[in-house]
Amino acid sequence: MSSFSRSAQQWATFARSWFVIDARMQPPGKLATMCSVRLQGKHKPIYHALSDCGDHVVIINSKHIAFSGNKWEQKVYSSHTGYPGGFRQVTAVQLHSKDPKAIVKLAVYGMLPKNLHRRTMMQRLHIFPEDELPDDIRANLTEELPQPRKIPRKLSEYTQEEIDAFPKLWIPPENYKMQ
Amino acid sequence: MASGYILNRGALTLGIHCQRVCRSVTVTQVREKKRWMRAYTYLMAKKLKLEGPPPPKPRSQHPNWDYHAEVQAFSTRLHENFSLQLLKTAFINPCYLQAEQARRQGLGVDSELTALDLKNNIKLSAKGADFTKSFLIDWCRASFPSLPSDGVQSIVGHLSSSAVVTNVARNLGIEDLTMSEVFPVPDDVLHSTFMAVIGALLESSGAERTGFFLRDFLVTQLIGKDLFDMWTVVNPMGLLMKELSKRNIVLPEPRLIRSAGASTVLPLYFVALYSDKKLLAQGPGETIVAAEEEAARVALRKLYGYTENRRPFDFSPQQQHEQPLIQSVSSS
Amino acid sequence: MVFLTLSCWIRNRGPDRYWKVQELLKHARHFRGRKNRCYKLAVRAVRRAFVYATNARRLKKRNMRTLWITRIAAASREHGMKYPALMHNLTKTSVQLNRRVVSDLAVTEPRSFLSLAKLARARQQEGFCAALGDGKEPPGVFSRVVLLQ
Repeated sequence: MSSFSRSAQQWATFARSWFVIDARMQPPGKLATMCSVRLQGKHKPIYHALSDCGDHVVIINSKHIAFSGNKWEQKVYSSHTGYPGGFRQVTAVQLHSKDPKAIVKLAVYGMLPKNLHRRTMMQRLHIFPEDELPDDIRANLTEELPQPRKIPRKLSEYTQEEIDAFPKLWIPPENYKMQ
Repeated sequence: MASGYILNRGALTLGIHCQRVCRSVTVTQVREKKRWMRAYTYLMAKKLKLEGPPPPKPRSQHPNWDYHAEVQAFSTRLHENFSLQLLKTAFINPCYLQAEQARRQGLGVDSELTALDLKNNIKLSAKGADFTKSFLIDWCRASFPSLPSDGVQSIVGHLSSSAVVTNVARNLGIEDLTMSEVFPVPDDVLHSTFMAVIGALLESSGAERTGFFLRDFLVTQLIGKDLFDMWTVVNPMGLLMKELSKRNIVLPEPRLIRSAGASTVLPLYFVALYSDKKLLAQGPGETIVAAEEEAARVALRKLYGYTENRRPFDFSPQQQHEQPLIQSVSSS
Repeated sequence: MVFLTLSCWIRNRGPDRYWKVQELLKHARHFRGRKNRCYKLAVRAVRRAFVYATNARRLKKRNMRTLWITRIAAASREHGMKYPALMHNLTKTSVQLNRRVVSDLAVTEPRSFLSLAKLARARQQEGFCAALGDGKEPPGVFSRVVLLQ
């Protein structure tokens, strides 16, 4: 198959591909593992830490990520402004309402190796709060990554027939009052 | 004593320009520590920097050189039965003969009394060059039956080009044995000497052995070479059209199949060529035009049987594969 | 030793320190700052550098192995296998290729690597089948599963 010329083969080998991933109803940690692997280029057999072979990742719908448990209220993002008394602590809800990109960005940033390449790799991460992409980024895209988590259906998305056909553990009596 | 020895040595090695150093050495009485060494080292380093490294000397001007033994060793090393007379003739270039004559005249040697009756290698060289060319053409035709004559010519031209042949000759140690006027033997002289060695082998061992010699030493230079490195095709798409119409295949239709980073400075496009809805070839490129050209090149390589996953060349020892090569040589 | 003059004796005294310094500075010429020209600073830096070099000879082997493993993991993920599964099943099928060779195959010969991955996959399926058995209970064991059936 590959009877390419040397230069063309080299170009194709080291070209950066652009992945897109939909963050709707996805846990940020799982998104970040997928992104950090691709940003570092660890999904390529030619990987080397110094050869700068990472790819671009575009995350859309970052406003609609999903935390499990009570992380929205309990997860705390801390930072320090550097001034006396400048220690800031905000919960995930507050941070998300202020900047819908921040949670995903911090998750990916924390999963990248802590070296001088980290900022460079972060520059290849493009986060968009909604699913509208600018044209120049849309033109680059190569591949869509599968979502790490299957989106559960909401009760409102089930039709009445499906709800009726759903197996019931017990049948409530006639005079049973739902609170 | 020691100082006198050092003075002598300094005078011998350095000449007059380092007398100052040596003079300082004479007043210092040194037994163990070579105090003069530092200045001497600096001086030599400075000299090297100013004058550059000394010109290369041929092996024949170094000690322990026996030309006859070396020539014999050359033929034994290659496992060939050269006739030594012919081999020695093959190493003598006309430029060496001229220079030698001039040198003898300059020295005032009587040219009649000690005539320089050496033959030069022009005839052998011409013979060897002819044989090499015909053998290489035959070999290419046999290995790549579908390659057109232009391609064969360019492969043969590459293999018998000065760069390849001189590289082979230098690595075989022909440069040391070559009788030439100047020492780093010029490429054209080395080329003709190599051809003369081929000619000498042809006369002493016959066409078959020479064919194996060429196959083992010259054709092996083809390993890892790309077809279009040797054969410059400006318009591969046009050539592909011509080839396909010759074979009655529907003309190819380029399609963009993959792309990445189209709006960045590092875009990548994969263009595939489809002929009658069947995939001919695909190629990557920086632009769509370059990718299309690359795809055409890939398709040409497939047509000519010069793909990367072809069967490796058969360079096995000659006992098992004697028959086909004899035929190809005799057909020339 | 016999010295004819005092000056000769004085000059001959002691070691020729210049060469000792040069020997050491030779290893420090590429260092940054005054370390590359001042002996007093260079000697400590060179000593430290040699210690690092000695340790690095041991570390290099580890780092290379991690690199091969990363590459094999990346290549095997392309074929839908995980690295431990691939290597385990390759050893089970007595493919005696080490990680260096397998990673080289993954980079330069993707087809050969694909066949290795297929081999490992087949061995994995065989292993699963053998572990599950033919769906029957082993003889002499009375379990709840049988009761339910």
